[in-house]
Amino acid sequence: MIKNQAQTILALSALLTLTGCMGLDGLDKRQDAKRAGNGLNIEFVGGGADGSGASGDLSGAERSLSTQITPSVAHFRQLVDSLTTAGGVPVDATTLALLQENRTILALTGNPEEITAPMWMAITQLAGSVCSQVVRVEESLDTQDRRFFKAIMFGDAAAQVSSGQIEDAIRRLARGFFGRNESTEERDRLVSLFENVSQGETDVRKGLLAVCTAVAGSVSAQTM
Amino acid sequence: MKRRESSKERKERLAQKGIFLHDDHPKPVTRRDFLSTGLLGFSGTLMAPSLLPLLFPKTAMALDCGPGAAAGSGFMPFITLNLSGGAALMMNYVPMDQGGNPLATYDNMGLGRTPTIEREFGNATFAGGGVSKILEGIRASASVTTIGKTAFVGVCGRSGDDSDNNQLDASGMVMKAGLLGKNLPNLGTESGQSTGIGQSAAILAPPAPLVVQRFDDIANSLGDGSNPKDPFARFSALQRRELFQAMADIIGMQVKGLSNTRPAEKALAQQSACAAQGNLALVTSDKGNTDPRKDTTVAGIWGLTPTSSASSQSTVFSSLVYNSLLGNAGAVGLEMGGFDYHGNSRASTDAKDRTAGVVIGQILETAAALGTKVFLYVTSDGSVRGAVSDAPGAQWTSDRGEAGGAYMISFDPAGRPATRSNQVNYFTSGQAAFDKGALKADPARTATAVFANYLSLQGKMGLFQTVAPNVFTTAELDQVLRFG
Repeated sequence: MIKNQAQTILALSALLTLTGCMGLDGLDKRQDAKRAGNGLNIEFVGGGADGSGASGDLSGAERSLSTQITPSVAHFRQLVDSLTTAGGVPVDATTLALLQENRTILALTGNPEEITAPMWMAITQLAGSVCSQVVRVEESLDTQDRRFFKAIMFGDAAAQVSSGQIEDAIRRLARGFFGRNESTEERDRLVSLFENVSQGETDVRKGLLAVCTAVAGSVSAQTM
Repeated sequence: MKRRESSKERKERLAQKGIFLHDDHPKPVTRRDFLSTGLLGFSGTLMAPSLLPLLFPKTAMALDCGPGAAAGSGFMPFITLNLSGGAALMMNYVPMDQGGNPLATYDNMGLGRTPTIEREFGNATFAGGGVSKILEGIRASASVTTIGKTAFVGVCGRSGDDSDNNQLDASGMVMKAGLLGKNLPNLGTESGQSTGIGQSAAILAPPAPLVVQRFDDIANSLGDGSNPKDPFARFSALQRRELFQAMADIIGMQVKGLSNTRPAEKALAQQSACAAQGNLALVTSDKGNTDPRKDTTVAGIWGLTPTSSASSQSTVFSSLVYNSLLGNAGAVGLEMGGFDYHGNSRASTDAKDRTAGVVIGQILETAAALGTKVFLYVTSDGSVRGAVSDAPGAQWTSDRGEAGGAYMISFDPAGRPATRSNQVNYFTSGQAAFDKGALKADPARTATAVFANYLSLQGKMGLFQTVAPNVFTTAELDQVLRFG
């Protein structure tokens, strides 16, 4: 799978390098490719696919091509599509209503200089809305049919979730939303987020929502 | 059989609703046209999102995340009220000549040959005898005590008719000087404009504004969980804080590897890290109430109840004003449509002027209720010509930007701010703003003059040349400074 991702990235990088100037259509194509391959992320510019700085899954030539890509943030048309596709859930009414409310706040073109605190707040809200749905949908599925929370027992108290179970969920979320594995640093912070949010909670839902949102609302999930 | 309504009757009927159509104007096509004619009262009444922002992408100025925003800036709130379409500002305030005396006649300004002058705000000259409806509106919504603590200066400055290309927006300069909100950026009501109002930026573009079309836009930006659609509504304050702390940490990790030399990557790293830090500060701060509908006194001023529509003009305007006066937001821009009103009965255009006056009074009264200083800048694009008449009250017949102008209004709870006089620049015997001198016929100079007065009022003129270098000579600056 990782190899396929790299091939997608290579092909797309070459396309973008050749086309040079990038309009909305170009952004859409890149986003489509990101959906298909789950990842054309800024992390590849400076480091390996595991976020460690090592070359990871990309060859030197591939990295050379990807360094020519200008990063951008998902604009409002792409944002929800991207989140729901990565999350494997349909767009629900609450998310659509949030998108509508935040339309004037979200990025219009994807230019990084458009980024403001209210815009990132809107991204966080939308990521949270999609993640609420992810948690809800996955809870209703048998473990083998789940995408992210295969190892989680929703009936358990939060304190009963082992580090292995939550790390498995983090790995799956990272691959889904980042298109790469999480770095060690990211994993440790996400585990502590789960533990801190879950303190005193009788179930796992809030902790999972927080971890999913922190992944889906981060730069790696929102940049192309 | 029902008689078909004539064109004139239709215009009059629409005018009574504040919608002004003209035979000498093409049919409204753009969003701005709709605003100017009054077909759109203001941006917040448009429920469906406009596609125009796609055609007019806004650009944002790079921000550094210094301590200013979180700490509050110590600058006086700055609010711009833009009356879209060419309002009769200089026909409500009565401009004087170079010597400070009335013109020989105001017979094409709808004021007659010798208007009755009524002085308000100390010594500012208005069309008396009930002619100035802006003054009437101010008096309807602001108390005598509030008016007694308010200073008014009329700025005689030409501008283009029916155009959003006039560089009359001063918010970029104001923000650059240091006005920053504690929790919110600069705010506007007009989407598709980088200034948040239907005027172009003078000298410096402001940061991309948060365009508010309903109160929820503010609540969402604050992330305070008050929105029922907030996915974290069931999170405790501690859990919310931990989530935003984790997001700031993870985003910080992810941008570490970005290039410091490629501009787009540098911008992405800086902007997203600053945004995450800003939101962390936001969710951990005590924001207090940000909804004017929940403040009984302020709600009363704006005619609101706790259940008033989140997207009504009163709710949106009061939300921006309230958060500006509380120091939550940076510069604020309010857009009122319907002032491209020439060709309609004077009664209907007077009614429109009165609505602008009421909003001005509400802003001043809100500042009084909160015990806060405010600097209010009233603008328009162009102005109007009246049918030549020796008697006041003539109908507006066409656009006439050479008779344009703006207002500077400042309230101080401690007492009326001192002014050297109540007018910048002057009107000539041709009943037009003098087009040479410091302001020339350049709207950007008008906006810069307003900015200079904003600084001078606060004793911060030392910042002027840094923000707006080489616009005015020392002599020109002396010509335009009235406050401070």
